[in-house]
Amino acid sequence: MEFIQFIGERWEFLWGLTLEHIAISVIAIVIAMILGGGIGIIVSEFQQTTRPIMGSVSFLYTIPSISLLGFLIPLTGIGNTTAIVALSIYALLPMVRNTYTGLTQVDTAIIEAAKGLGSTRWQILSHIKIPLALPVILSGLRNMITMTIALAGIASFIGAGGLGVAIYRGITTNNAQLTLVGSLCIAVIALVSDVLFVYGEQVWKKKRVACEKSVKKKKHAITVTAIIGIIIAIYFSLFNPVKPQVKIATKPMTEQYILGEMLAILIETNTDLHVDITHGIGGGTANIHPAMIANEFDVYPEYTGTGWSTVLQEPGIYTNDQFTQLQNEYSKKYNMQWTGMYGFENSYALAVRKEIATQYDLETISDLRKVAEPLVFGAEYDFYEREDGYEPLIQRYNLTFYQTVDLDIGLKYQAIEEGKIDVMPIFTTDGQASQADIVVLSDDLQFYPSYTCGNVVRHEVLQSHPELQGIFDSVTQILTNETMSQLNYDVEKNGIEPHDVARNFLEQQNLLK
Amino acid sequence: MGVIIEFKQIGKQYNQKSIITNFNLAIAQGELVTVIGSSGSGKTTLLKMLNGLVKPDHGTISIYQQLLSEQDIITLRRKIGYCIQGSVLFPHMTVAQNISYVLRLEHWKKKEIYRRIDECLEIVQLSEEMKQHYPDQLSGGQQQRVGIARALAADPDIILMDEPFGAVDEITRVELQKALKSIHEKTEKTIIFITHDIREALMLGTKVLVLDKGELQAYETPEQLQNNSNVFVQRLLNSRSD
Repeated sequence: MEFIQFIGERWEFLWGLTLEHIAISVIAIVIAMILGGGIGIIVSEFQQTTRPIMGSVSFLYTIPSISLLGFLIPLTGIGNTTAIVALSIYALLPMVRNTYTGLTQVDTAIIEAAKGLGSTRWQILSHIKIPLALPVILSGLRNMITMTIALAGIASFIGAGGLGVAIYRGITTNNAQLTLVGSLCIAVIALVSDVLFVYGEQVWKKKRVACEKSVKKKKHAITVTAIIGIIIAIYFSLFNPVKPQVKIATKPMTEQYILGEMLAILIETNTDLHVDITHGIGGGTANIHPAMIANEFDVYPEYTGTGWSTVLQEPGIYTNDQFTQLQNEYSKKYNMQWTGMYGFENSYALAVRKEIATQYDLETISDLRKVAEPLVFGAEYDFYEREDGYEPLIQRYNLTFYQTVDLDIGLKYQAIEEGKIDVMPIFTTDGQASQADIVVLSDDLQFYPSYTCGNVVRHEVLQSHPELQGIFDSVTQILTNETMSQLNYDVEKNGIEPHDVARNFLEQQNLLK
Repeated sequence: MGVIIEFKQIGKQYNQKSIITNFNLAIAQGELVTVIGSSGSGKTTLLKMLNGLVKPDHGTISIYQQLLSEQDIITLRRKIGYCIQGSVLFPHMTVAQNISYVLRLEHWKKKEIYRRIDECLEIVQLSEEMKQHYPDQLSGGQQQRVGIARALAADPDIILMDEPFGAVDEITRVELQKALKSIHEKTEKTIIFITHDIREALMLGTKVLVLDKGELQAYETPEQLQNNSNVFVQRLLNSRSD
């Protein structure tokens, strides 16, 4: 029941994604059908091309989808185009292979009869080979359609639309229902299209027997025109001919969704600009920054420490007093700037149970030194292996714990509450940090870089829309670590939409007129 | 009657094995030439040379007094009926579509096509209801008849037939033979008909062409052939009683 209610509540959102999913899949399927069919014909007609072309197509098929998307981003950018290109590439192989198999297995005696009766090469292909190969080609097409619809689910990884958005957002905001509904919708589309395909095939076969040729041709022409019309219509609705004036990107993290929504709401309420948000871009900075350079996005929330090490590739640990240098480098190298610094920091930190903090009067990690010996340290498995993990940390602060415990990351907060562990590493804006009975110790020796959150904006956008500066000014210093983690908690545990969390918060802050 | 087909010094090898050696022959218009010889004697190779499916290594072929190599092969093929063993109909086309295949390639008018399909069905003695049937709904004998009708459709002057009755039962074969004979008498087409059955060759042919190892052994009327002293011809004739 709860599930159905969930679908009812999110109906509009899911329906939009479903349409988008179908559009992306259909476009990729049509491209692969035409291109794959064409290549299949070429490789079967010109034997010398068979090996190189079939080899290349098979090779493309073996590239893992995530890597293929990665390779394509520098070429076609982020968004639907890349998704369609990638899906078309994967859909090529089944199409090429079945077209080739179908065409080459036509009985040579039949081909010779056609040749002997005076058919040209093209006529043999169009009148004899293709119709006879059709069952094999169609079975390839059928597989390809199902595969493409399923695979289109990963398109959201590179900022494309479709039901993958629901799945990905569900995963990143700890919303299992959303993930499940997204997956189910994809399965339903795949099943329905398969049923329609089989039905269409049967109708077509029957018509073929019953219909006069001329009527058949006319009907085909109408069907083809209708399909092309629908595709064009979907294409334009999808690729939005009304160009948004501000394009926002976010990383696949709950707080980024909230921040992106906040900016969008503020810009659309306070200016005449139209905003387009692409949420949860896979790979985060590694993919968003190049897209910013390529003018595909105008603004995105970023963390100073990440900008310093990942984008600028500066050695050493970023500290807040290096902000001017960070700002200058961004301006000089990329013609971008940091603005609208929110005031919170999403850094690594150590947390202790409140009673221990009170008992020993702990405020900084250094304070732990004299009391660590009887305490149990708990962390996710990889924390003990990371370069900025357990060993370097205890060396830097000269800590000795009684014991270390390996835990699943999802069970950390429960473990500290139950007293199974006393100290643990956290992110300062973890949603659960706002609710748990813990005290966050400050990194007084600056072991961790500072990850202050702000917006990276392209200069050009600020120049052409100076009114945006006012928006960025209005979000400056409006969030603390505690507020941010509370807002994250609202999304992750209370199941409120990021958009609604953002709006409520802005209303509380009286930022909406 | 004038010469319609002429082979001059034709030679052909496959994998360094001679299939046809120095073959010379002039065929007059209106003949029904039955071609007989042991398997591998080059019968089919010769036949396929006439519609350009096989090219001779040397020598020349003339059709309608014109060198084959100088004619447009597609146009020529459409003027030569072609009917092969098992008839090889197009399985995805109805009887009517099979028969009218060349007519459609030649862009005949629809009315003309329908008329011609009916005529051809009548010639090969098939009922009109067959028109919408697919080849797999027909018996072997019916398929052969459709194959012949398809070869006749564009009203070619020359028809090439490669063991068209090879795969049917005895009764059907006799019927088809009768039908072919009457078609030939009515239309006076030049027909080249390959068979491995000497009785069929003698019964149908106005001329019998005997081949052995790619060489011409005899080209005579059936009556003349009976008196031929050629060793191979004699052996062939004797095989009748087997």
